[in-house]
Order: sequence, then C-alpha cells, then structure tokens
Amino acid sequence: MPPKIAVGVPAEDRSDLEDLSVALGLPSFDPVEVRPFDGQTAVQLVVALGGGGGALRVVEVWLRERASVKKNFRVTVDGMEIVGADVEAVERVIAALGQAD
Amino acid sequence: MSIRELIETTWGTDAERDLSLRSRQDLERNVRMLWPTIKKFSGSGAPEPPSSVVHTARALPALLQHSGATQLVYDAGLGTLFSQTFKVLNDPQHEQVIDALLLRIAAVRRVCGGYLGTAVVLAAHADQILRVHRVRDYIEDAESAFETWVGVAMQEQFAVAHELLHYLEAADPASFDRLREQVLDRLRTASNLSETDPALASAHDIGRERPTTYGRHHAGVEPDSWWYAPRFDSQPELAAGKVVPVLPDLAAVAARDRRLLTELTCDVFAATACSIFAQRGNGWTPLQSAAASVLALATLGLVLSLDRQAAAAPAGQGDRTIDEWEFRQCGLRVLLAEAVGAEVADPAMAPTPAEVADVMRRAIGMYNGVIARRVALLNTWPANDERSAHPSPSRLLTGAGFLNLRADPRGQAQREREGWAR
Repeated sequence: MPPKIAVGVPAEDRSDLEDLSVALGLPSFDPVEVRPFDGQTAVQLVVALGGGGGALRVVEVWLRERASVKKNFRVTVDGMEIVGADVEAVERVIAALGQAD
Repeated sequence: MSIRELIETTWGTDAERDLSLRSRQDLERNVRMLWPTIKKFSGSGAPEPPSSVVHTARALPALLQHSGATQLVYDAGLGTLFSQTFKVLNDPQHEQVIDALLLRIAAVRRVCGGYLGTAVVLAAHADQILRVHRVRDYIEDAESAFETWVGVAMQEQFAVAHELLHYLEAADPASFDRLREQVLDRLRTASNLSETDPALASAHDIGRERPTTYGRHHAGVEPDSWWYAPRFDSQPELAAGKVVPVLPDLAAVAARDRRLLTELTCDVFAATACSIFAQRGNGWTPLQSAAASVLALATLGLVLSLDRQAAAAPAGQGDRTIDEWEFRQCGLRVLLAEAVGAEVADPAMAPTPAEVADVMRRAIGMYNGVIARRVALLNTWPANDERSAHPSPSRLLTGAGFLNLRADPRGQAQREREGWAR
C-alpha cells in the first residue's frame, strides 16, 4: 500500500487544490471539507505517493509555488500536520516524508 | 476518496483501536443528549449525525463533509488537554511545575507540527524541572475528584456541541441561518446597551462590577467552587498585551465576517445547550457549564498560542488565528451571560446574568493567572536542536498522556506508556 498524505488549503482556496488534483491526474476532484474546533475551515485531498515518486514531485512543485506567493497550506504526514506558507514549511514536509514509515 | 480515507490518513488507520469503550460511550452519550436540544433551538428535523472518536495529540475535533455525507470526529486528545489544564487550576501546584506542564504541552504541539528537534528540547527541559520540583499529588476527597471530572466532562461536551452546530449548518442550512441571525441581533443589542452601560464597554469587563451574592446555593452559586479561589481574585486579565475588543467592534466584525459569526454561533448555542443539559442536577449546574465552556475556549487559545510560537509562519497568519479566537471568547462571554438563566426552567435554579458573567470572568481570570501568565513568561523558546538524542515521538506523546500521534500498529505507544505520565 503506497503511503498517503492529506494536502489541504483554506476553504476559500478550493480552486488551488483543484489545480493540484489536475496536476496529479486524478480522475475527479472531490475534496473533503474539514471544520475543526479552531475554526480554520479547510478542504483536503488524500494523495497516494506511490508510482516511483511522481506524485511526490507534483505535490512538492505545487507546495513550492504556493510558498513563493506566501499562500497557506497544510499537509498531514504520518500524523504530523505541517502548516505554513513558506519554503521552510515545504522543507518540513519533505523531512517528515523522509521519516515516515 | 472518502471521509474514511481522510480519517485514516489524518488520524491513522487504527486510531480508534486503542480507545476504551468508555470513550465511545461518552461521545455517544454527549451526542444523544445534546442533539435534541440543538434541534429544539433551531426547529430542525435533521437526524443525529454519524460520529466517531479518536485519541491523538492533534486534539482538534472536526466535522468532515464529503459528497453529501457528514461525519463528526471527536478527538479525545482534546479531553486530555482539558484534564491537564483543569487539574492545575483545581489543584494548586508550584509555578515551576506548571511551567513543566506547559513545556510538555508545547513539546506535544511541536511534534504535531513536525518540529521534532525542538519538541525534544522542550520535553527534556520539562523533565529537568520535574526532577527538582515534584508534582504535588494531593489526596483528593471524592467531592474534589468529582468536581474535576465534571469540569473536564463539561468542557468536552462543549467541544462536541460546537461540532454538532456545524453539523446543523451542513444538514439544515436554513435552520442554522436563523440561529446565526439571532446571534448577530443579540450582539447588536448588547452593543446598543453598551453605549449607556459603562460596565459593558469592554467584553472583558462583563461581570467585573457586579459582585455575586454568595448565598444562592440552589442556583449553583457555591462559595467553595473552584472559580472562587481567592488567590486569583485580583489577577488582571491578560489579552496577549492587546486592547480587548469593545462591543460595537464585536458586532461590526460579526456583521462583515460570516465565517467568524458562524463560529460564534456554534459557540453560543453549544454553551447554551450544555447549560441546559447541566440542569440535570447530581452535581452539574448551569453555572459550572458556563465556566467550563469559556475554559474550553481558553484551552483552544493555549493550543493556538503554542502553535503560533512553533510556526515559522506566514506573516500575520498566526495573529489572525489568535484574533479570531479572541473574538469568539469575548462574544461568547457577552452572549452567554444572558442566555444561561433564560433557558433554566426552574426560576429558583436560574442564575442571574450578573452571576453567570461573574463566574465566567473569574474562571478566565483564574486561567489567565495560572496558565496564560506562565505561557507569556515562558516565551523564550530554545532553538531547534536536531543533534539531541531523543526518545521516539510516540514515547514523548504517551509520556505526556496522549495515546497517539497516529496509528501505532506495533503497539509501541502502549509499551512505552511510562515516565512522565501522571
């Protein structure tokens, strides 16, 4: 079973997540809307990282593009939820993926 | 993609496996007790939502929506936080011990955010403190233990009710709209009153000039309740060093920010539903429930503050989150004072708005005096140190009282449950 991560953006950035879905070649865009107790509503997509690292590269490029314009993202890897909008947060995502089972 | 797949990815495949039957029964009971009240408020006929419970260090319950399906996920890790923080409110500890508790919680939040090196440094610091300053373990009488249990149970109930209100928004938008309009109207009314009543000039002043009469035991105004601890009576309220919002600002923000108004609507009706449930007696009172609701939000504020400190965050992003939380906290206190007594069926049991306001003010004052003040003092966090030899994240988390960061199929977390745990 390939490892999975959850990639999310603020609800108002839904179309940005759809761009990721298209770039990943997913057959349809059907994110889950998450309303946590802290009030920061997000839309999230589960991404399977199998297939020789292709999906991971697509996600990384997409994250770096968001970081370049300081747009917020959240990525759940192995139970850790990395939230940010800069290159440092992207690097933490990559590092967490390196530590994941 | 499905809701189940997101739950598995976010909280872990076996996140529910380690939970006791009691945790599931608590959630089911809360949903079963609260949902009819919320339906009654709103006039909705929507069925009870499907729900599941996990226990992770992420500690944030959520409502998930996907393709017309909705699921409430309660993360009992939030209950662990409620328990840890309420314990030091109700059971005085040396300030250094409180620092250690906060460092542990900060370490756990760092693990959740992927800052493992810093987490370990904070955890080691907490450990060092506790080698010198021991946790005072009082021999509790049954009444104190029950008060602590009720205080935590009521906070959990508020968090579940908040998510149930979000479920109502999804399942029956028209009914939720009516509640949202009510909240906006009530904020505007309070704003208008504030122009003639100086006591309402600041949301944090609610209750300040209205001393409670201590003789109304029947209404739950118990002179020996935890929020009357005299050592914190004169503590100034903290608001992260900022000027707190005044009422007209609250109403204006609510009018222009529908998302924030939605959150406040969920908070207000969640707290009101909980106070109605608390009329059951047997040691539960509407006043306790009001105090627990504002404490639950205070604990959320603690989580947000620690996460903000951790984040190499987008400029202003963390501050926005804190600002929104402060809006919710202030708005809830303004509106709950009137609501609690109005919903109590027996007039003899009904606390006055002044009594409710006073109790909420004292509860928050105590929280600020014991916890928020220490967080502010602990604000010089160590630099990340990836060279530290450190225990596994699961050992760090279970030592701090959390079951999982995620699923732990090898049972490592269970085996490592030792060390810090109390």
